Amino acid sequence: MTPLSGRARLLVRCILVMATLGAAGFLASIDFRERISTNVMDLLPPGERDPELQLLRGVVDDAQARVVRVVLSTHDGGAPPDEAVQAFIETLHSSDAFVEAGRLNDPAERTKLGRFLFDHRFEYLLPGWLETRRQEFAASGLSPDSWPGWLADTVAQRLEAFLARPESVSYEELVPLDPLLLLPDLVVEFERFVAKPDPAQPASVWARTAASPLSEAGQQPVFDALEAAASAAMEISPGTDWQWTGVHRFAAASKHRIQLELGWLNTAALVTVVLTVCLLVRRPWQTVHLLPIVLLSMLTAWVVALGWFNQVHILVFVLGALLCGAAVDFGFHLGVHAAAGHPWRSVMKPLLASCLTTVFGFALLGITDLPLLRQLSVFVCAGLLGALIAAVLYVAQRRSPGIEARPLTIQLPRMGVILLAILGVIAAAGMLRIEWRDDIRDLQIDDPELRRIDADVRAHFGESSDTGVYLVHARDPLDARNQLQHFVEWHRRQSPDTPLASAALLWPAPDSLSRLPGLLEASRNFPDALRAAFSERGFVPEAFAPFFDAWDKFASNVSPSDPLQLWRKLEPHLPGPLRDTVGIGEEATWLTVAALGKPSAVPPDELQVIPLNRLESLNHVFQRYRHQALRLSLAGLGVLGILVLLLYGPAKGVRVFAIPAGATAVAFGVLGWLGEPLNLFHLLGAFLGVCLSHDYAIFGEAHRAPGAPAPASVRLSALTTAASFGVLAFSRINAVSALGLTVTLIVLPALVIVEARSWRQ
Amino acid sequence: MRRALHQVVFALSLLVSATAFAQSPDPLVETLDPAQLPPAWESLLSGLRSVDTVQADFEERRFFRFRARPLTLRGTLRLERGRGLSLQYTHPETYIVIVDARGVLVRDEHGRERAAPAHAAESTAHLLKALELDLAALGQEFLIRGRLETPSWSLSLEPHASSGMNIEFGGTDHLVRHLSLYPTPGRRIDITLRNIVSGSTFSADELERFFR
Repeated sequence: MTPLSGRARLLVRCILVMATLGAAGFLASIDFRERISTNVMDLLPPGERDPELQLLRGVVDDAQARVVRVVLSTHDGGAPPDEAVQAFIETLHSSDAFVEAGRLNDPAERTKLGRFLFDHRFEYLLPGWLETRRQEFAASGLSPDSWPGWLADTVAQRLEAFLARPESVSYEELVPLDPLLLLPDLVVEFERFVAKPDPAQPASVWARTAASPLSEAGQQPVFDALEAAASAAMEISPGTDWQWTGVHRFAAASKHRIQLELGWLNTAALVTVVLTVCLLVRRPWQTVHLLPIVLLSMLTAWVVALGWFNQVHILVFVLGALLCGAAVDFGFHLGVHAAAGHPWRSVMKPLLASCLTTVFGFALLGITDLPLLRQLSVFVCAGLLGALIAAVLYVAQRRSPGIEARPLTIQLPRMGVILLAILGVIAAAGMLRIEWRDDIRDLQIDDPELRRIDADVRAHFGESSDTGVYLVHARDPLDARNQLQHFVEWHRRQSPDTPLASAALLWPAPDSLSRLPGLLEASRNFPDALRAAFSERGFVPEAFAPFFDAWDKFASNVSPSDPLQLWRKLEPHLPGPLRDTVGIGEEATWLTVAALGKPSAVPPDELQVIPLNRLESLNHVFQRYRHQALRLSLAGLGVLGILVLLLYGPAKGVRVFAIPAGATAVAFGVLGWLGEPLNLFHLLGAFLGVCLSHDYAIFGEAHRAPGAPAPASVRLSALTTAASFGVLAFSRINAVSALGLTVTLIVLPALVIVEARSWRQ
Repeated sequence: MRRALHQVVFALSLLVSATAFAQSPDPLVETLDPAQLPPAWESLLSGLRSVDTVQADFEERRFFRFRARPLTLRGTLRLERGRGLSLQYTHPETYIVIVDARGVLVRDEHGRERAAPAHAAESTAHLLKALELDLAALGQEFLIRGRLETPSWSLSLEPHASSGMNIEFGGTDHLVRHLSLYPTPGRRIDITLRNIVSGSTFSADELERFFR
């Protein structure tokens, strides 16, 4: 390679220094807390076409995610003194980090709600009750004239059956006022979800934070306030133990662990790369000159990614560390060829071919609307181009840029090569055993201890794995409530013995409300018919005088109610956790409903109900993205193959293309034999692995003199890449581990295939 | 005319009350001190306590202020000393109420369990103590009166606390045959036992299904 003149060298150095300073200056001006996200939900598209995702994002970002659940107990698992619990709650109240705190199942709150519902039972509970009876009557096929008599018989019969059940004991005083059992039905249904407060059991405290759990303000200040509250409780009762859970805790732990991962992965990768270089390079210090290339490549990637996107997920930087491997490759190729005295022209063609085809492939991956892939695509493309330019400029301005590789000769008998080929075929056969599993939790670091605490605390709150949660959503709150009613009716048919609970069920459905005046009009003779039915079944009708008076008063004054007005009147009487089951916003309304036990069938699409199981419910979205990424990868590889054929002709082109294809088959086969379920990140790893092995194929096949061994730069590149990605395979983030393992498993067979040609000779 | 009628009714009611007061108390009814029981009672109670298991059909009649006639429930009662009491209701609703040292549990026909409502738990817990003839425990909460006319006997438990529940039960020889509970004023539950089998052993399946 011809060295540059003095002036040209100075100019190139100026360009490199200016670029470095410019990039450093840009990064110094960035508020990393604002611009780098650690929220796993940010990896999903904000304008996702799927409404369920939009909604779930809303739910996660909204009130429910701000809830903190705390269990206070004595050392032996008993109940702490009420004063200690009160001190805990009051400390949270006085903290700026919390906007709300209270005891779960607070008897005062239950009484307040119970009193309100009883006083307004005809407004809130009668519409739904009458609607259910109307449907039962319609199913009976009786003539409309018999409605009042049928209704009266049904009421008397239901009351008699209720009195024979054990739960009736608590409501005997209420029966003369509420023979329709509006309130007992509701309480019996809801009580199956909520354990009654037991003074001997630990106290459950519920609180809502002021800030989102995913923000800084929603983490450390919240933890401090909880610690202060626990101290206040312990001052009163020193033996108080406490456990808590919340998205806040998981988010903080995940962020902390990802930061730790970043630190150790990068350090370990650097150490393994240095060790590999020491083994393969005659004068290892020569490789110090690769560091500016890597640095400039990474700076370019960071600057472009942060300039392109408003917010970049931290995982992009973790996965983006793979750039080091590619950037180092360019330096190796240039350095090794310079040391061998090859002209620029002989290096630039394969260098450009391998870089631009890889950039093209990653750019194609950016067509997807999954933010993770788009961000990674921009990051890698910018980094690769940055690495190429930096490598060329940096090597050009050096007087002696060569890197002398240690000569390595491997002799293998023909049988050995055949055996290797057979092993490769056997390994590739493992592809038949491949299974796919898409789990969004692969993006997080699982913490079994936090999960255990979470399950313990939630159990005290009456939440268990056999409680299904469903989400109903619509732009208009009234539409959402009507949809919920359709779901309730469907669910009742599917699983008649499975109770449902939601604050929204206390709020009459608009359709039921609009039919109420007509139904009451049709029920004019109901009171007389009920008196007769009561007499017939052994009841004393006079004992129900308070009910008949209240019915007459309500039925004679009934007018169409404003459903939203009814909700606004109800809302202040709802305890916090119950209130959280309803979210009425200007843009959209969502209602959640809990079912004890899952129904036998998945709700049909027309009900527009989403079974919610936290993040797992997004797995199918990830599956869709995997399919999308697979299609794009295959298209990218197809184009890459065509480009190679055009550049190198059919014979060389097929050989070049066969190397990454064969290496990928071996890698996926090994993963299949290992029984490792594959996901989107194995696919991304494969894509990168194909690009890298394609690079080795170009240098090792297309630019190798007939009969000569593969260039040492290929071995250097492949082994340093395998070393750094091999380290990633040990990451506790499944996504990173999958990527690292796949790249390593592709790069190594690719190197073996490239090198094996010289072993034969 | 209406006022006169009221006066007549009032006078009649006074007369009835006066007649009641005038009646001499039953000479066979005696207040029992669990620490110093008369020998005849001591003998009867030890005989009753020697029965370890009981199985019987029961008919429960629930009286309400708002019903002219009681509501009748039927089922099978199982009692095993030390394990508890099980009431298997079969008519008109099917469920099982289990009363034992851990509290009161309701098990529905699908096997789903839940704690009994507080009122039911309290009254049924007293019932268990009564059926197990734990007079020492009962004496702390009730004034105990007994009537013994061999082979018939009856015990009445009157709570010391005004909010408590009156319990009456009785039988012949060493078998309990009827119980009456008075949970609140105007409320009454009568339980009559028939086809009583005592001393039999419950199978493992029965123990699992009807107890815990």
